[in-house]
Amino acid sequence: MVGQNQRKTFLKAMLYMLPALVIIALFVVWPMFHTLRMSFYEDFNIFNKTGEGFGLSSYIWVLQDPTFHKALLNTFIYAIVTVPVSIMIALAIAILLNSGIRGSKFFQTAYFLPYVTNAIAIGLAFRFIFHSEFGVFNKFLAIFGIDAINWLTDPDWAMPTLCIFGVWSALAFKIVIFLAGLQGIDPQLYQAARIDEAGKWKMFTSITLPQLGPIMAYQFVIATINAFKAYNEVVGLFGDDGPLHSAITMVYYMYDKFYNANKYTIAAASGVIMFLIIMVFTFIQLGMSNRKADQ
Amino acid sequence: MDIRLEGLTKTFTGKDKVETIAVNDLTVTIPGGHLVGLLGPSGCGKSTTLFMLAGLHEPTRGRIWFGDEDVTDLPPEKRGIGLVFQNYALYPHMTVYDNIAFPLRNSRSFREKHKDGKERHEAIDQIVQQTAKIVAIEELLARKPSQLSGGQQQRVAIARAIAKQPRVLLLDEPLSNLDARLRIQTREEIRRIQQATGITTVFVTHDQEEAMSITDEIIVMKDGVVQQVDHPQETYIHPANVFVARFLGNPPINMIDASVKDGQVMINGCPAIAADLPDGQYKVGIRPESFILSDDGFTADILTKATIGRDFQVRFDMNGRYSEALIESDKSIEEGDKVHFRLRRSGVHIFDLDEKRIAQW
Repeated sequence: MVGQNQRKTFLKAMLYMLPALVIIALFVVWPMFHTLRMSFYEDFNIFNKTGEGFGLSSYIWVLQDPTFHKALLNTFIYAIVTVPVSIMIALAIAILLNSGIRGSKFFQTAYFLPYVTNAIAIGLAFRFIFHSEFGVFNKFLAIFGIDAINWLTDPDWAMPTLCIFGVWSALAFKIVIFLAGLQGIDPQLYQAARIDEAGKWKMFTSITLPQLGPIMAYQFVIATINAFKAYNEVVGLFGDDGPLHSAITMVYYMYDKFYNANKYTIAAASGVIMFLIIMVFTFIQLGMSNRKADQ
Repeated sequence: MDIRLEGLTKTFTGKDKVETIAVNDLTVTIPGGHLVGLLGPSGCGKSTTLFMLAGLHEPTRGRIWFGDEDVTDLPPEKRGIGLVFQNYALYPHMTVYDNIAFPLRNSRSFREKHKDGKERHEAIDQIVQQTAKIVAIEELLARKPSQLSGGQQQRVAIARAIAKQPRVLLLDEPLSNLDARLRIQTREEIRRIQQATGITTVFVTHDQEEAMSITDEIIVMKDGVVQQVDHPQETYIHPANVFVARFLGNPPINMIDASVKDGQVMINGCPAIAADLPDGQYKVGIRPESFILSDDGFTADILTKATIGRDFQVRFDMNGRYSEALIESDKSIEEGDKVHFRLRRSGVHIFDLDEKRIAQW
């Protein structure tokens, strides 16, 4: 009887999960499997779903492609710069907003606006801001006597520009998450710390930071994944992959190989490589934060 | 060192601009080295008073003196106080050891006294071990607060508060999160720790039994106003007004409207006790233990009977109010009986219509 009941419960549960399972299978699992299959062919016809030359040739091609090396390097630079910088700035702003300054409700909304705004639209706005001749940014730098910088047209400046933009556009979401985290800290801990003669900095290091631990780990994992997937930011800002492909990222490379070059197997192989990289990094980060939580 | 509160007042302004007076013109002296209970129902301003003592709330008016020092404008970190929060507020990510050491590591005066880093480290270690011993948590020092029971957490909170040897120890409903058995055990602990350290201690509670059992002195508050400041037993034997009489004692005192006629208090139409008072209406409070079964006296119909330990708790109608009496269980008494009661001399209080106590036997 127990077994029958269990089977009944299981079938009922399956029925509830079916819609989600179908959608996930159709739009996530099948494309993943399909991409994996495609990546092992030398050539693939996407119309009759047949490939030629089964093997690792596409992987070898991708790994030897200097443009892919450039995309890989750029993506790593982008992640290493924007993840910690945006987290630090977001935390500072969140703490400021949480301290109950005048008009904090207004600022909370203002800081969240970029998150609900289209990345391409924001990119277009930043094109004006970064414009070498008429941009606000250069006008601002001119006040300090700094010569105009060709943010968008100089290949050497493309990555710094992208990073600045990336930090800015990643702030909104992080601020909201940090604010939620800060509001979850028991205010009595700060009162206790005050009585225990802890100064502002001491309170930050010995209450705020440790209490935000799990949220900080979450932010790092999500931000790193998002940084590795950077594409909207590039296209929004430059319209393409920057002057002389100077701001090409892994996802842009993948997109370019698929839609522009029609090299489907190359795109698929680079996608699989990217998937593996993100997976490894996420496991490392989760492992690190779990070990810390255990201590 | 005595603590003096002079005309202490705290008002809060709500969102709708309505002003609420949490503490109203509180003037009281807390003698040094004593354990004093701030007692009252929730919302009476006792916690607000405690937080003003701590410096976490700024008084709207009035002064706070620690001995000869006016501390009203001192921030909490400069007052030399230890505070035990209702939910303990232990630092969750620190070990018990670090929780207790935290105030010492921060203390400026402690750092000045022990300039050498290594020597300071040793001094801290010594104090932490000593304090842990006082509150009996030596074997828990390496644990995190989440690995402790409520009672253990409570003792860690006390240890953290007394480690820096504060001038004043403040406890905000420290027993409310503990179960009944642990509560009794821990309140004795608090008494023991307070006597061992001799720190002037203020203890906020809404539980009259808790306050009665361990304090040297009780401050009874209601609606932000002090009702009575007295020894615990005195507040029970000589309540200053109807509120105090009602608040202390379990089962609660029976409060009835009664008239005095020809020097006699009339209960159920029968003269019950002599009162040297002019004729008129009064409020009479009778403790449940002050009823004696008798052959004469006023009559009462027993409505219900319950056995409470060695006593019967009986319910009957007295001057139109249900009243309760504790009767020794060797007397035979049943529901539906018609009995006669007389009153003991102690535990009967007469209040005027302004609810102030004016006479007692």
